[in-house]
Amino acid sequence: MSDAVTLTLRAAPTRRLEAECITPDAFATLDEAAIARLPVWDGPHTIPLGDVFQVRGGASSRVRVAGDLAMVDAIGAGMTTGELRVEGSLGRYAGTRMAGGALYVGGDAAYGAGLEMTGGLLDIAGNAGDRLGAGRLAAARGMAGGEIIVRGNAGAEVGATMRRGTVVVAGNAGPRAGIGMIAGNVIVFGGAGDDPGRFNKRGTIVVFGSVSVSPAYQYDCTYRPPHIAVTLVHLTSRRNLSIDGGLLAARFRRYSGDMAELGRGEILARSDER
Amino acid sequence: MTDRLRITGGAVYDPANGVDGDVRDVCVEDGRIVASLPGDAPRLDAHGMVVMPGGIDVHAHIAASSVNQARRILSDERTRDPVSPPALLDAVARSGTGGTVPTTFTTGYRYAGLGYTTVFDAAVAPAGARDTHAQLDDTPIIDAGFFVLMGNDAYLLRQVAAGERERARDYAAWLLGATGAYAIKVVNPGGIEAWKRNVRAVTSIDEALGMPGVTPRAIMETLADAANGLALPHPVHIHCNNLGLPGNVTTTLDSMRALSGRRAHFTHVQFHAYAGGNGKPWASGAKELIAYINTHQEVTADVGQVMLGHATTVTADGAVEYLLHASSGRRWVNVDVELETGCGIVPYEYRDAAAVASLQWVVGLELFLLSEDPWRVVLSTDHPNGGVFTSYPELIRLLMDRAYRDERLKAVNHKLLAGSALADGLSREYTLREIAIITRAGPARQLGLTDKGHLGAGADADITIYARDSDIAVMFATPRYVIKGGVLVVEEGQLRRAPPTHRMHVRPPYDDAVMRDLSAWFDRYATIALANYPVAPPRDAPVPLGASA
Amino acid sequence: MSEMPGGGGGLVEHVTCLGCGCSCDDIAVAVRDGRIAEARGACPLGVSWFGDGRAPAIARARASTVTVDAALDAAATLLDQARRALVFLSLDISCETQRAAVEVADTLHAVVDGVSSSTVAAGILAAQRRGRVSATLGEIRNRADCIVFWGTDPAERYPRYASRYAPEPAGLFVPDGRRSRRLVSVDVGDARGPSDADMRIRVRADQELDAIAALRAAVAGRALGGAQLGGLADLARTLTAARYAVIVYDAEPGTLPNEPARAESLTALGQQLNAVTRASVTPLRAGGNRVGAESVLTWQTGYPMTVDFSRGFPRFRPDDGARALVASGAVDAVLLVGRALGIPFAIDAVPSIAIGPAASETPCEVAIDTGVAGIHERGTAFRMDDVPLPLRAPVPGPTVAADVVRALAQRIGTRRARRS
Repeated sequence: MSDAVTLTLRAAPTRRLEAECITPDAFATLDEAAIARLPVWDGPHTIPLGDVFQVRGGASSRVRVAGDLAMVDAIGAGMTTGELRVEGSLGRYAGTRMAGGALYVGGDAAYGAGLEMTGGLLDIAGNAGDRLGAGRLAAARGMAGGEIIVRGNAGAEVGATMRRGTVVVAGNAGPRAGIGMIAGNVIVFGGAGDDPGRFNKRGTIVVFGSVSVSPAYQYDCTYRPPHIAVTLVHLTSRRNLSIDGGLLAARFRRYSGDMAELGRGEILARSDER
Repeated sequence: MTDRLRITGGAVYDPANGVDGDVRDVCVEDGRIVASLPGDAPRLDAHGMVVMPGGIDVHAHIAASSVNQARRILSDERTRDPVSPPALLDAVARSGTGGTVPTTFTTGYRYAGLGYTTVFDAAVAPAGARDTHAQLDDTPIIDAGFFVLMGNDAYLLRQVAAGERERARDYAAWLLGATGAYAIKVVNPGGIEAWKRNVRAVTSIDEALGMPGVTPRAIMETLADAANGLALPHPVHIHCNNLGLPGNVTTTLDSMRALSGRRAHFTHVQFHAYAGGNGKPWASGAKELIAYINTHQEVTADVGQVMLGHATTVTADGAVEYLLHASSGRRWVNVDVELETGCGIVPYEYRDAAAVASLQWVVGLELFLLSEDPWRVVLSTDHPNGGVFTSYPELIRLLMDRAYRDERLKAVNHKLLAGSALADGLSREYTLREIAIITRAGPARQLGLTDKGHLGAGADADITIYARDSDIAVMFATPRYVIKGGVLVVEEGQLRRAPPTHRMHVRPPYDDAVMRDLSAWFDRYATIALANYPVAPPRDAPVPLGASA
Repeated sequence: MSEMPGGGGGLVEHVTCLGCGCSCDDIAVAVRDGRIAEARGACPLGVSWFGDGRAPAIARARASTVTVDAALDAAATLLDQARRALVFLSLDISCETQRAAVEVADTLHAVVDGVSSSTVAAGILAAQRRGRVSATLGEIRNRADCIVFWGTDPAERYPRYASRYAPEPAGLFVPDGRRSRRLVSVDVGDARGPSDADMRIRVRADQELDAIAALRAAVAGRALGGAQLGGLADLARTLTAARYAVIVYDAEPGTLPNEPARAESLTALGQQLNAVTRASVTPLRAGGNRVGAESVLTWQTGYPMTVDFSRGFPRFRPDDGARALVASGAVDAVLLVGRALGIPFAIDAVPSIAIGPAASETPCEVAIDTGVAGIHERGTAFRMDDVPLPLRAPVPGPTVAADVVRALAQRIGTRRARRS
């Protein structure tokens, strides 16, 4: 295996492109010329990847991408292995249905990052748009596994209809976080927007900052859930997230809901009672 | 494309004409089979191949309003099965999506790609007939017709209550013509109307449902007599009460006995052949049911095999779908339709690890393997309820290849298989002749289609040519050639043409007196004007009555 | 049948009105000198929809009036040369026209969308995730003994709903009409239900979802700790005590507060009610055969709105509807089929072609006037409950839309075939 494959954006695209061809899986078996021939979609037309990016290297499942790719959608979609490291921001649907490997985003990721992912790691240094780690809008089931870390803020409907896996938002999450969760974990270190956890059957939403819990949830108790400390240790030691050590001892108000559904989900809201 | 073709050298399976694998020529001219052609007619070399009439599906759900409701909620699975347009030479080729309920164009292409050339939609609400005709207009290659739902129609039930059997027959005749339908369908007789009144189970076929005298027995008798009295090409097509419930074989046998001596078709009998219930575990009731069918010539049936894997249950039988939703927690659609019928939809998966799904799979195979008359017990999966029509080749392999079947049997859940005939070992393997009967000649005879399902002179030139393969499923999944109405639609395994299709429908006569009564009924209860109710008559002439009498 | 289309006069009966989604098919249209003199039986909305039957009949390419053939050639050229086109199914066209328009989109590898994506998308998506429990209008008329109008008085936008479907008519299982039914109004914020309701519940707009959740929990036999149920407990009892309960809400935007999760919440409530009694939840839908567009798109592509053919097969892109595509410059040509009213983008934002009623009055590069489906053109349309109805043509009009779009499809198909 050679060194990493490096893609350098030639010029910022003026229209949205779809580049699901950019995955470590595809690049691992192709030489430089073959990678440059992979199709990037511009509406109904295709452009060779080499026309959009300068391609250097081949036959590697380590991929580096340089440039502002905010107009390039679907990078890393379906990846199952390797490492894809993007220097700048990404367009929509980054890492959609990824099943393994790691996708690192140096900037922001727009709408639908990690949509329906089933495994692997999606690590976004900047902010994420709406529907992070969610399902497609019409899908009954969303994210089925893997881990998403957003070091900035996330938009609306983080983790919607997820059924396994973990989404961590270091900043604030937008409205309707974890709507329709079937299972899985959403952890928000900042505040959560309106109406988290609507329609949840199971699953856990943890909010360290401010949150307003709907009456469809029922207050159970205030306690110190042991699994949160375990998660925090994992995030600091393995994911390099800087976390206030005081949080390890935080207490949480536990609410069960959505009582209109099974009522087996929970929202854990950090309690100010010391 | 020439209008003449001589198919030479193939082994011809044409059971309706007593041809069993003989190597002989089949001649086609102007869309029909002819006895002979001049020597210079174009030839299609079928040496070493198997030649059969085009496949005929007696029971599938492909173009009803309910089918479109099902398509709409299945966006997840169809996202994984996008379909690009085929490379057609003679028509605009259309894209689509597949999954368990493909879009209309994809449905036509995929059926034709399997060598099927005629399909009947088995359940159309009368008020939705216009929708079905439009969907069938967008379903290429295959000829089609549909059965119109009558067993829970409020007007009809009132005729049953009043003992007005002649008026019921006149109404049935009018409704068949008004909707452009081919046959009378009964789903869960009286049970759908009961479900709308929150009555969720029918205890026996003699239970009065809502009105004195309105029993499943009376409904079935009335409509069987109507179909036979009108000399419809296909008799009443019955989906019995208590579909999918343990112990329902009793209901099914009672229903068959109720119509003893009357010609009737019982559909997807696999779903109606379970013993057990009342505290006892589910078990196969196939032996009992098939024994009755074997000895009663007036009964025809299709099996409704369950294929392990993904399916979508779509039925007029709304109560069943509620139970499936409640037990599975899956998405659920219910639509109650215009005092006529119902509609329920739940996407489903038959998993081989599941005890009931495994039993259902076994019951269907037992019915096939214990059937003594392939003409009367034909192939269906109740697409997409028991499985998708594209699984027919796999089903044919299960029937023809015992070693494969035994291998598959080992993989399923055996919890409920004690005493099952299949688990005890059934050695029968269907022959190609028998396959040609249960997928072509049999359905044609059951449907009263005289021009289809055989290769005698005068028949429609709907022909499928298979290259032999050691894997039966591969052979049946990928015909080398398919000819529809004399046009080569599949060539070297590729879909190449999409000729115009035909609609099969009937237009029986009725006594106009029924219209006065019906007009008053419409004024009082209907939300559609009587004048707006009938569809535009299909382009094709109605199929003649009495053809099967 | 007493249909008598043509240039003269007379009375055409059983005409279907597409003025709203009620699709009343009992209108008698009086025709004088080829114009509509009266639409008997129609509500004010219907009268205005029928108008006098006058329709412009112009074909235009750029500023010049041309023949329909020449306009079709210009349209085919514009679409064929577009990098990426949008086909938009607007209002007052038949299903036959919609079918041909989707074929155009498929052949062009274009995006096809309709009015639903910018009006009722949340409800459509909720049904895809959860299903739905519904009933056609005939069932509501004949069976519903409890009708809940949820923040909706149908008198406003569906004037004959009450008299044709519910609560007024006597039905098979509700023989005394209005007196056989319990009428409930749930007022959501300022959106009020019928004034003559037998029971009235007030819900704050910002507490609507919680109110539905409370109803659901009550129906399921679960208490909501601390939540103030108030009249909702009565409503839950009323619903479960009904033989056949129907909850009606207006799915179209404009009257109820914007609440994307309403449809899903009400659907879930309806599904839960069916564990106890029979119930359905039915959205009110506006006219112009918008429901037909969803049906046609579904049977041809599998998806009810916003379908992208750019890969040569249908992809469902509900998060990338017509509005976003035009606004972001993602499309460089638009084919608008139907009326240019109420469309979610500026028609002059990109080079466009309009085929439909009064198309020539829109600022398009190419325009072909057609008749209005159900006034000048026959065909099929779907009522708000997905029931298909025939359209009659009481007065003669300009070119038939379905024929024009089919001719366009053929021209584009020929060009594409020649190239491949």
